[in-house]
Amino acid sequence: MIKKARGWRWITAALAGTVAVAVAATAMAWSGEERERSGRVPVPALPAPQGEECIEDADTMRRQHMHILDEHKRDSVRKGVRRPERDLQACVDCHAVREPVIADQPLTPRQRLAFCANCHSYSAVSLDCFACHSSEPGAAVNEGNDE
Amino acid sequence: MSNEQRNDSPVNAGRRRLLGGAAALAGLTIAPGVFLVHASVPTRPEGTPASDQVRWGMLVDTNRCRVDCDACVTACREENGWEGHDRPETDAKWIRKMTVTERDGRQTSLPMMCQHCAEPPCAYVCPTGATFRRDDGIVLVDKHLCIGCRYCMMACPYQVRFFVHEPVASRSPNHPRGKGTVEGCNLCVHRIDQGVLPACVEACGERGQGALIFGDLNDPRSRISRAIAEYGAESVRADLELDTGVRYQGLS
Repeated sequence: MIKKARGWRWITAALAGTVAVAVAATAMAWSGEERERSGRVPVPALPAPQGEECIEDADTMRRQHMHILDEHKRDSVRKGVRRPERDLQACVDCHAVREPVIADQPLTPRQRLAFCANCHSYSAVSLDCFACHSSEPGAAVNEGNDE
Repeated sequence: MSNEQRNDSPVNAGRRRLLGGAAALAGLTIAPGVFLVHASVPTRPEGTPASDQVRWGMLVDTNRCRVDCDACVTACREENGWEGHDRPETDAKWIRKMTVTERDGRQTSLPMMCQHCAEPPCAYVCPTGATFRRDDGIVLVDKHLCIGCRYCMMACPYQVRFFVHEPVASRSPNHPRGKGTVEGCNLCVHRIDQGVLPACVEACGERGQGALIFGDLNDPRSRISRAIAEYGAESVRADLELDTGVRYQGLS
């Protein structure tokens, strides 16, 4: 019995140590500067969106945006369910860059949608949406910005 | 140089003022009618699917349609962003004007676009299910599934489907277009879902001859149903029994 209890104590101590090391390592990895230096590819810089909040929180959007878009695509194209806030155009309206990167030069689609393109290129996932869909923000949003 | 001189002359300035006034007057008189027409497209609440209680259709009065008018074609091109490359055999023409000459020399002008059949041959032959008929009767291409095989173009008896052969330079937010997919008239589905008339119908009422009526074929009280009940209407190639959503008056 005594032997067994000693063994448990030893295992508990080892576990606590491991957890402490893991927490410290994670904290270091995610602190800003460490994160920048952690990989060979720099973490993408994302332009700030125009709107106040997205349809879901940032973590959900980061992981689920493709599924949300896919579901909405099927609903809207095939069944005619319109939810303008979930349209790809709504993403563009909010996330597209509006100010020219080089003065007096029109933005290329890649520059305009740096929000999408930078992250997709970082994660090596091809971005096909804008082979067909417009990458220009809608007129209504432009009017809103001018005010 | 000669243009500038002409513009500066006082006579022309006077004429311009007169024309401007006339245009403004026309705008005023047209506006109430247009408003009434707008209100005739029933809307459905956001977030609800298209219903099979409704069947959208269009009625073309060929007695009003004129050979020299292409307001509908211009409006469609602007709304949906399709353009040509000066290659008439392959260029997209979601809607085109046709002139039918009878044996006695009488000419009839009519717009030809997707007829939105109840039994669409294009949808039957589509190997991927990209072409489909929405519950409210609009025949559409789901370009996410289209592989560009062009069977639908061969099956369609009206020749109103087009293949995008080249990269698309500029896109309309209203309608995504991409190389390698088939496209055609979608009855301005984005406008209908907002309760607005298709661009061609609106343009025909404002700038054209008022030859197009849009509405619900299932509703006996709608303007289109009353016009069909009163004067009759027929399909082009009625012998194929496709039950088209686009009907014509004054063809025969």
